[in-house]
Amino acid sequence: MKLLNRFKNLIIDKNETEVHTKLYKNIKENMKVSRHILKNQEYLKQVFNKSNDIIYKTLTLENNNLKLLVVGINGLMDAQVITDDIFVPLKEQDRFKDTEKLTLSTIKRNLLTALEVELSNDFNKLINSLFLGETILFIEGYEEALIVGTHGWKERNIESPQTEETIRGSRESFVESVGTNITLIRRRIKTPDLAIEQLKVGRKTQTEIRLIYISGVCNSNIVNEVRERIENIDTDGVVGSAQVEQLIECNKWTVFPQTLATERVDRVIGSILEGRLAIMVDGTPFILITPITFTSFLNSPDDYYERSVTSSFMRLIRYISYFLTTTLPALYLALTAYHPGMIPTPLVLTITESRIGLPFPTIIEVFIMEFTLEILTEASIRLPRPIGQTVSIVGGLVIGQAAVQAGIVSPLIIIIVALTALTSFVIPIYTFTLSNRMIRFPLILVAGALGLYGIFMGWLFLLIHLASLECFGVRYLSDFSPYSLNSLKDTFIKVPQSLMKKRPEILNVEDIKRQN
Amino acid sequence: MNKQLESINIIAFIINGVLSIRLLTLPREIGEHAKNNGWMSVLLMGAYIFFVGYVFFWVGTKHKDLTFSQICEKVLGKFIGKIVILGIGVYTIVSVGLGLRIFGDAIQIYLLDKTPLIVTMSIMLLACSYCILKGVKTISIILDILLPLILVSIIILIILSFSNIDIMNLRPVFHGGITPVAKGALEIADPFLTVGIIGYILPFFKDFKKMKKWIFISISICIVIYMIVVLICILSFGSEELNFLLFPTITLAKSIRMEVKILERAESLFMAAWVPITFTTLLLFYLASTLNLKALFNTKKDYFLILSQIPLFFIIALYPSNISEVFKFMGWNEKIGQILIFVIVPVMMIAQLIRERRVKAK
Repeated sequence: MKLLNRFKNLIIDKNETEVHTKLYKNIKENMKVSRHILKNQEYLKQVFNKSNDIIYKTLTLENNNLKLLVVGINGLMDAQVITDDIFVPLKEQDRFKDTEKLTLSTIKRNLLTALEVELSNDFNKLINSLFLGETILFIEGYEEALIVGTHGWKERNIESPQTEETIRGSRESFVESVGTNITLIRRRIKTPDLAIEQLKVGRKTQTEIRLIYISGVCNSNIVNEVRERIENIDTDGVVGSAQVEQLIECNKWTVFPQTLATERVDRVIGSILEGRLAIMVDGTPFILITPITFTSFLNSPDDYYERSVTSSFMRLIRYISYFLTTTLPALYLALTAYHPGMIPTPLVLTITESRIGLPFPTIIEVFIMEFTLEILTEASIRLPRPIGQTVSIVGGLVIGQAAVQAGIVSPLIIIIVALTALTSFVIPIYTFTLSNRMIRFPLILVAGALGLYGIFMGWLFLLIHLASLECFGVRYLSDFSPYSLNSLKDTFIKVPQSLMKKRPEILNVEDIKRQN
Repeated sequence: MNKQLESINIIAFIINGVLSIRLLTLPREIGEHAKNNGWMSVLLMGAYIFFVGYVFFWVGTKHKDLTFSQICEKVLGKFIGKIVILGIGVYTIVSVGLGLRIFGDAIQIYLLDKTPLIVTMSIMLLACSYCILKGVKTISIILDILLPLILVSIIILIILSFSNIDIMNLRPVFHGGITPVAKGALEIADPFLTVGIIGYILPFFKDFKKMKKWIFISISICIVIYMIVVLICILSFGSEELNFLLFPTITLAKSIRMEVKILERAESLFMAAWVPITFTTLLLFYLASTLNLKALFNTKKDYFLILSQIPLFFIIALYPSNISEVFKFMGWNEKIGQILIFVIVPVMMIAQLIRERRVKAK
């Protein structure tokens, strides 16, 4: 181990570049609001000298002899709110001279009808609130400015989920905005125990992050650890939840996802109620759920909507599919190349017959067709939708049929590859499906080298790897070990709702009882 | 030591440890002595094993944070303790080495006839050391997952072989009296000694609630499985034929012909089921050996100990030139095992009792 560290130190350059902690280039430290609105405007213009989407609007109230400066960022503010809550009240008040003189405090107290109004003299705070879409009101003669809550921008409508279809589930999916997403959760969990913690990540992006859990149910150690990890993130900026996921995950070198990213509202609600933690990142419709186990990726919200017997059956089919999609090509290769004695004789004859005159050994055939499949899947995702149809025709008909007729591959390979493709679509979570590919190809290789023994050892290594994964104190395979009747109720099978009286033990929840 | 195991985990440790690759050869080895009464040998030894398992557990509960080797040193004194630890060390290391060799040979005969022995063996050893490096919790999860697969495959084998049994093979019952039965029982002492893993993993458990029950259940399961396998081998082949079969249990699987032809021959599939069985046994021996060496050298360097054993295993595994020599070495190793199980275990119990008396007297 020491040797390894020494080697590492050799490689890594110790002279790390200094981290730029300075927020904005033109901002001066501790800059305060000036009495003169023109000076304030000058300073702001200096700060935003390269951005021309800042709006400066001077307003004069003649009767009160007041000069005001309104500043905001175009597109982030709701113009209707500004008119209704700032301009109209001020002008109306100005028209009637009988009332008292307008001062900063009267304006704040009486005039502005907006919900959120705040006083501040710190320019850093003012500038930050500009980015949030708030409007700043400077008044001549005062050393403080008003921050008026006017944020409002175009958002995508709530649509039905695109990546995880269900039959009977809710049709709502999350959108990019944190506010809307919080509403979606609040509307369904009506308890003061629902904790929504606010965090920020990224020096330049200032991305909003929310931790959502039920306090008193979710294990507080897990919450603390997640919070600590997010607070420790020191980065320029994050684009979406995927980066946050990678920055807080426990095992970096594994193909298996450590958090479950979902856009389904019902899935997040179910997980929160189970005692898990949801991490919401502004700008991504995918909410991260943690801690997560292997079985979570093979569950679909539909399991909870259908009859328990049928959904148990579907679960079993998913487990079998998972096995097939990872191992079937390898199994075919091992059986035909190493142990033809295990297959019934008529089938061996058929296989041999179909392989007469083919140029490549089985392993090359398997590789050719599996690669073609991966290319097709990737192409169909990337292409614009109208052309996507062409890909499926080209892929399905031309390559499959033609490859057989041209005598490059045997028809049995086509069946095997088609089955792996089909079974991979059974897995409900896309990120997890991706990891299957990284298992399938190594398994084909070891099956080519060592036959059935290779497959078994490959799976053994895979199992050891899976068993060693641990995130936030929960093992990836803890559903299966130690044996417990309670965890069996929602893994391979799903028992009726009335029998699921406890929350999953593996999450170490603080309140295990779910129902009586 | 960090305590992270629940008491129910012990089931997987015991059953996976006791059901070993010896299941393949044991019916012949017992049959050599006990002939058609081999199944009684299993029962005889089984009764003693309950006692052994209880001693390991009882001694373990007296010293909650110590492994069996450390307890040996504490209870028997430094000098005798070290000798016993050395004995356990030789036994465990040789067991891993020879177990690896038998496994490699069986794979060569039934699955991969052209792959060199060292390749199959090193992959298996690599998996074991990888698993041990990942810690006890990982080991227990792996054992818990593999156990149902192993049990199901053995049960399928048993059910399928019901078709070619001949009840006449069991006669004459008790021919030759109790002596051959007892001699056969000695043969099975070696695989059953693996219950000693209790002594090495107890320090990793959070509490010992219901532990006695789980230990009792798991030892019973092992005895029943061994008995049925031996019984079925005798019933299918007869005790005379049994003597000429190198791996009677594989031959048993080979003799199965399924009525509905899904698979042409079932034995390769069962051979594949032996992979996890061997893996778990080797893994547990490896674990015990590592913990034992830790006690021997009074050290905490896990990584070093785990990795430094690998060459040793290879030397032992590759030293015998053919399979009969392997069985010869195994016979010697079994002698050490028999000393451990029939001498050391009772001695430990008595020593512990005396120690307690003394503490009480003071």
